[in-house]
Amino acid sequence: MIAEWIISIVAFIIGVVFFATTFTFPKVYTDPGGFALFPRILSVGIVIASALLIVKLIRTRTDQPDSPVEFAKRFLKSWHKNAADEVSGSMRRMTYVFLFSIAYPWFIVRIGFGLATMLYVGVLMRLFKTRTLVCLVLAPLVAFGLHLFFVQVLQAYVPEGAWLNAVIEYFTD
Amino acid sequence: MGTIAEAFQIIFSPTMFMLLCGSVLGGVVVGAVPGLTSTMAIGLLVPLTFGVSKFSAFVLLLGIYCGAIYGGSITAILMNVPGTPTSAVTAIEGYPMTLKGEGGKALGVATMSSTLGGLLSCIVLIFLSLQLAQLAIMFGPLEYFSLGLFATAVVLSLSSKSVVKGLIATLFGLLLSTIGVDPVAQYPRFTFGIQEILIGIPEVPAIIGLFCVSEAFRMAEQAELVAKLKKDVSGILIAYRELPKMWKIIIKSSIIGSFIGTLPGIGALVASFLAYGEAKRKSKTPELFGNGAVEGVCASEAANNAVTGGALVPLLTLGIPGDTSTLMLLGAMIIHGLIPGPTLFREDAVLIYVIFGTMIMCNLMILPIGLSLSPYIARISLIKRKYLMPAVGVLAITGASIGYGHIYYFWISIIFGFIGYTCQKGGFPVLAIAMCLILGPIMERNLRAALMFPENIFWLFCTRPITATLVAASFCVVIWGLRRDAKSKGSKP
Repeated sequence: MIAEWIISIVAFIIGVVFFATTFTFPKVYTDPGGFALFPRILSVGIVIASALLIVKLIRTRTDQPDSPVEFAKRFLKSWHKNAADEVSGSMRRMTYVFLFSIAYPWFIVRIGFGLATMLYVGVLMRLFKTRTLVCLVLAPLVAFGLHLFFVQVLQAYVPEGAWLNAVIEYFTD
Repeated sequence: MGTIAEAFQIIFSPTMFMLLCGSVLGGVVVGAVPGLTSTMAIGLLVPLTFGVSKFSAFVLLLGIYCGAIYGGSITAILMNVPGTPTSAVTAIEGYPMTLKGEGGKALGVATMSSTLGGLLSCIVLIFLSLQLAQLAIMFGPLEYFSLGLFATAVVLSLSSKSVVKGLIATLFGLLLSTIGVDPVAQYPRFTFGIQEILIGIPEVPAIIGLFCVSEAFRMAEQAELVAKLKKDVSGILIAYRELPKMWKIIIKSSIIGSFIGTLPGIGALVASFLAYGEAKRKSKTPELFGNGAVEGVCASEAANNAVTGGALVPLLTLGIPGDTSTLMLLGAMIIHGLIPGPTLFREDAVLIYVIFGTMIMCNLMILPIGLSLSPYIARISLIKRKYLMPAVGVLAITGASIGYGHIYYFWISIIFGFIGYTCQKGGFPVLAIAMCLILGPIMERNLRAALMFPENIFWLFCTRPITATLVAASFCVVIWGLRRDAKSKGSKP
């Protein structure tokens, strides 16, 4: 239910914002549809559909186990010291996975692809309670293997990292 | 004839043939691993085909596709753990057979039915796509728009339990496809001053995010899988004795699978269920179903492998993917600069025949691989989630994005991973979003081109036979979906 709430609210907001934005597009007389017609039709549709779903969600009882209020309570409880059940563990793990996934591209730009990937893989493995020694061996191997594959086989550009470059420059100067 | 000969020469060149065998074997292994689906395997491999020829890319991806659909049945039969969701139906009858000591027979029947189902769908693929490509030459902007409308109507009505959720997902995908430079007059839309957004939503990282990154997130949520493999699996080879009794089921299930495959957004699971239901309905011993009926295994496997050929028909002829795996194949086409449709049949006929030939060979390869290696594949398939999840996560995020050389693509695959995960949780069809990201620009371009006609557009919609049929069919599908929703609400206590 929490996912239904998130998607319907996000869809509603996107619909309203996109609908309003279409009025800023210029008119082209040679193109009767113009830049605005297609997104305007879609945004009206999505606003109506998501409003329908929101009304339906409001009508359903809020004390259900997966209602937003209950979800929030359970989420907060999962961070409690004594929370050792499977659901709490899964919630904590998901939160960390989401946070580290968001941080991953941020780290790629700063510390480079190799180090960031090593960190990301290592942290994910550790979240699944893999032994530290295994993480320390496997994470660099995965990162090195991927780096080698992307650079040598695919000949792709792999970010080296602004911070790492600065450190290297500092020592080479 | 020269084109066919050239295609055969490509497929049977030593390196290509080895690639074909390896990819089918790889596909079977991937399919057998619970949590890894054919869609995910193709998704992870699509970006890696950047540097290879289009022939190698398609041989590799089609091998994985066919192999993985079959591979799911191995763990479904031997461990009651469907490797792919499409094998869930096979497990209903396959696992009870294993418990009765007939696991080998179930595996043998599954392998032979999969091969025959796949081969029959190749016949459908070859004949139907060549005919449909001829018909597609007559398509103008109105027809293409109506076709897009029909595809979205089918996806929004059939790929979710709720039409409203399907509609939200469809419109969400279409709306996201309008971000970036306008497809007709190159005007930037919905960029909100951010320069990177001018690129729009790149299809490949977005689709891989929706299916693969989200799947990695789902793996992080689930508990470690515990399953035991029964070690004595015998009688695989003697399963051929069952075939004479099964030919009617195989043909019927293959027709069901091929037909379902041609409809966008339905997929192999529905085909398996329908074929299984039909086999049970026609069986002389329906009471055996649920307790290890070999007909059930046969129907389910023939149908889900028959989907492979059927799903390629709309992809190759009209550019509309039949299921999630073919959606990924469309991603590979985009990477290689190929535009599916009648032009592809005219200008790249060799590739078309390579695809036909590869599909036939892949389905044939399933037979020796399945009959000789399936018990061993089952043993290596139970990879622990603690290793699988980080590997899938990092490969999905980096593989889809690294080739473009900009961090924006990493963000896209991660953001779409979140979207895909949340949508799956809420029961919104992810396939609808992914498909609409691709169909959006096509629909908009053709709608705007149609509006430039001097005639009244509504009159044109009603009077052109293909357009009128497609629009009417779209309405029928949506009304059917709404009625199904109303019925399911009525049946709830």
